[in-house]
Amino acid sequence: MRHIPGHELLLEADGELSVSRAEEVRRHVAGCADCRARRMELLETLGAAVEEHREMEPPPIEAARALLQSRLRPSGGQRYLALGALAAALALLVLQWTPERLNEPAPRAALTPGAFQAGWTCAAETERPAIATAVAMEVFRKYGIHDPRPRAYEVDYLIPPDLGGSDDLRNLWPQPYNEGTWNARVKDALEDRLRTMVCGGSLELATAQREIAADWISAYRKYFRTREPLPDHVAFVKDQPWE
Amino acid sequence: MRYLHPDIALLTIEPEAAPSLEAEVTALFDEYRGPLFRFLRSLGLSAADAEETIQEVFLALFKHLRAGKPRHNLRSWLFQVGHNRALKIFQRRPAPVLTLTAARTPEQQAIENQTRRRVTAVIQALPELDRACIALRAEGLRYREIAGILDISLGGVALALERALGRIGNAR
Repeated sequence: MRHIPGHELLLEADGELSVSRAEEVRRHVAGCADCRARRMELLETLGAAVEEHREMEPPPIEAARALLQSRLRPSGGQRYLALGALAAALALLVLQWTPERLNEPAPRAALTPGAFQAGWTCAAETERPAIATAVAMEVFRKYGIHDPRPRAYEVDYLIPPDLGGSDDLRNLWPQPYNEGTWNARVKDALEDRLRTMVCGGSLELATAQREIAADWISAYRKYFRTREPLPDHVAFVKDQPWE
Repeated sequence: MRYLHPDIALLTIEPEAAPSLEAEVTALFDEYRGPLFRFLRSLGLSAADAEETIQEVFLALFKHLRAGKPRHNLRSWLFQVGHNRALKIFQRRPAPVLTLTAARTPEQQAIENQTRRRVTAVIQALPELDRACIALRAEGLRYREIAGILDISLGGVALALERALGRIGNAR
């Protein structure tokens, strides 16, 4: 097979290829010392260029922000501030009250801090055992979900087993399966990406575990460099929902 | 009871929306002023021109949102409007051409021998498009977003990055 051209190595490293093409590229690179060296060189140079770019710091923001605000504010606009604040407070109350809060896409740190197996490595045989019904019900109970609708949740490993996560209750939480933007499918895509990075040597295992446990949505935004989930990932299926 | 014309009732309600829109634009300003500043500086704008361009971009954003126009991917929208404005400034007054062969004192040369200086010099000497791609990638944008902002293809972005990294790599 021909070597992988540099721009395609970059597309793969930045998670920009289709799932199937990325897999082909990774398979070739794994068996090709030239491509591995080229990839390493490109990524190191990219890292240096990013660092260089980040050196350009703007002057302090305060004056610029004040100027913008004075340009945005039509004269007399202030009178309505109090009304606006009241409306915002009301909107907040309504938001907190809706039952949709049960569908929040983030695990609660107090209930699910995350837990992992000491000494785990990429070489370890990884199983993703199905969660026993009794354990699943215990997870739902902890989260105050009394009558979970079938197929509405996946009982999810916060730190996935293929990144060393354990099946301890502290590492399990009920994740809305299809609802909302930040659903289980999107998290699955993050898990695959982190595993590829950790086992490819471009990310420390401990960092990956810490970041996914602390705030998986922030980790997704960071590693896919996007504020919203990518369309490919919303349709991505790996784990089956709990029934 | 006095009769109120419906338009009058609307007028009294409408201003309530203004503070929240202003707050939203300010929050976006806080988040994206730094990235836009670095992007515009990397295109070759002076610090003062970059600051003024950013003000114009956010005033345009305010009008865009007030008119109820699409909110999809405002980050890309900000970079795109910033890029267009920078191009307009360059039409009036060409981007400074950096000469890298000027006479230097031994001290300057010693400094420039450091890798970092060489990398800076190479980035500054890149063609504008390649420099813009590096800057936008460094700000964490997806290739599809970069393609949209610079009005080139997604493959073009990857090729520009490969070309630029090749030159920077040679300087390291």
